[in-house]
Amino acid sequence: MRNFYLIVFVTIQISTIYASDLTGYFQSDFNISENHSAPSGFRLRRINLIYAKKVLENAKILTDIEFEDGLELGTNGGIGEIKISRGYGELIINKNMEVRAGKFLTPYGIYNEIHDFSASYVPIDPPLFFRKNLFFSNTSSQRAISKYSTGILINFNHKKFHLQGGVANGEQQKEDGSDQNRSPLTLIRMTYEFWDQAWIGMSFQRDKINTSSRPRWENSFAFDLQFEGQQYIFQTEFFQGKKWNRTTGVQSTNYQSVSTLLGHNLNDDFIGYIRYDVFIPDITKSENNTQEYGMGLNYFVNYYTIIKWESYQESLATSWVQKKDYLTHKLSLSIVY
Amino acid sequence: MKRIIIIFIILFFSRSSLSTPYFFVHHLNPVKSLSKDQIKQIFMGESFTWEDGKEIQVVDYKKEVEEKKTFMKDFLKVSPFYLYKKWIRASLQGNTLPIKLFGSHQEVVDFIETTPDAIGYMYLNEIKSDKIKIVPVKNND
Repeated sequence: MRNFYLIVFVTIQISTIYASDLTGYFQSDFNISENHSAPSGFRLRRINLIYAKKVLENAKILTDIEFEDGLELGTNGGIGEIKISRGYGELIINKNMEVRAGKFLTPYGIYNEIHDFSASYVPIDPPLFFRKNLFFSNTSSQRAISKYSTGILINFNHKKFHLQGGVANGEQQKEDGSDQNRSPLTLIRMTYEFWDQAWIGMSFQRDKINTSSRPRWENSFAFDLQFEGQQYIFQTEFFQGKKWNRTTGVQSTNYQSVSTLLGHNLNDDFIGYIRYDVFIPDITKSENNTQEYGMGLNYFVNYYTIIKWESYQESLATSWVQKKDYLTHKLSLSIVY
Repeated sequence: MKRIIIIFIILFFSRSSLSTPYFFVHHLNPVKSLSKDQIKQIFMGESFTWEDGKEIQVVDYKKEVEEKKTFMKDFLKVSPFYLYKKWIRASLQGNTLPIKLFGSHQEVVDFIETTPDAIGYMYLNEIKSDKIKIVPVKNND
């Protein structure tokens, strides 16, 4: 708790110096999990300090310092971390094109670029595919895609078409901002608004992993569809990924995931929703999978403050873990300031 | 028949004036007119600067003000959730100044009188300040 106050104090101090260029994000959760290894209780999810400044007429810098999971400064007791989650410079070439260089959230699917900020999407957590600690086997858990990229990204907009493409360092095994893998990652994301507030999107990543024990390629493709009308919200995403050994050419894993969400504006303040996610780490053994289905509510206190509730059932059915169902109830408060 | 046509015309134009509010800025703001699309982009956190490069300060009403609900539904044609998300994302990308929220017309007028880069709206023209000017709204090109 002492550290929470320290972070708040530092935030206030910095805010007074750089008030006009500083924004921030706060999220705290409370969860009750039945039969789950994760403890029930309060959780300080994250505090972000975001400093963005226009340094030239056509250039901007952004730094996002993130305190995650109740960081315990100077002790070994905490599970949290502090990191530069984003840090980049952006050059506006013309009204249709920008070039970004530095570390950024990888454009991928509906969620990855907004991954850390629950206030900017409907559920409390992003779909399974975007989370860390996805179990691919009984011995390893990892991300399915590279959450962060350090490299160059080009953003191109023309009317209702949006293209993002870039080259980056690739999957980072650690999330503290240090690069473990300097092999190239190629990434592309396209979205097109084909109807009023209805989008179709496609994402692609090709990552060259250079670990000495398992040098491999990882390709991943995603297709998404979104509609956000005055009454209803619908989102669905389909992912498919492959990993194969670069030396032998042998394919090691072929994984898939699907997520779907249907929301309804109950009135001007509340949105109710249901969602379903499934992740299959190896489609040749599709009985091994993780599924989540849940329902929840968003309550908008004002433009920048959201309270959310969600109850979901997580169903683990893998050959290396005894089949288990977990029921979790979550309450979340997000504030953008 | 004439009466019916006249009534229809009155209803048609009164409807138009209801769905398009008056937009107003500080009298020193050089903007001469804005298209409906430009205004939508400004109020949805998609357009961040005036033509002279200065950052736009968007002014809106608190959510309980009926005018705001009409503006979202009839002019922007989006749900509150969609609008809030747009502003949250723009803010977290460091693209825009946070939106200013007020509870009454007078508070909005008072703020814009002292803020050269601000823009606000109201459905009935109750502005009696010479420090504020109405921005003509063009149809989209």
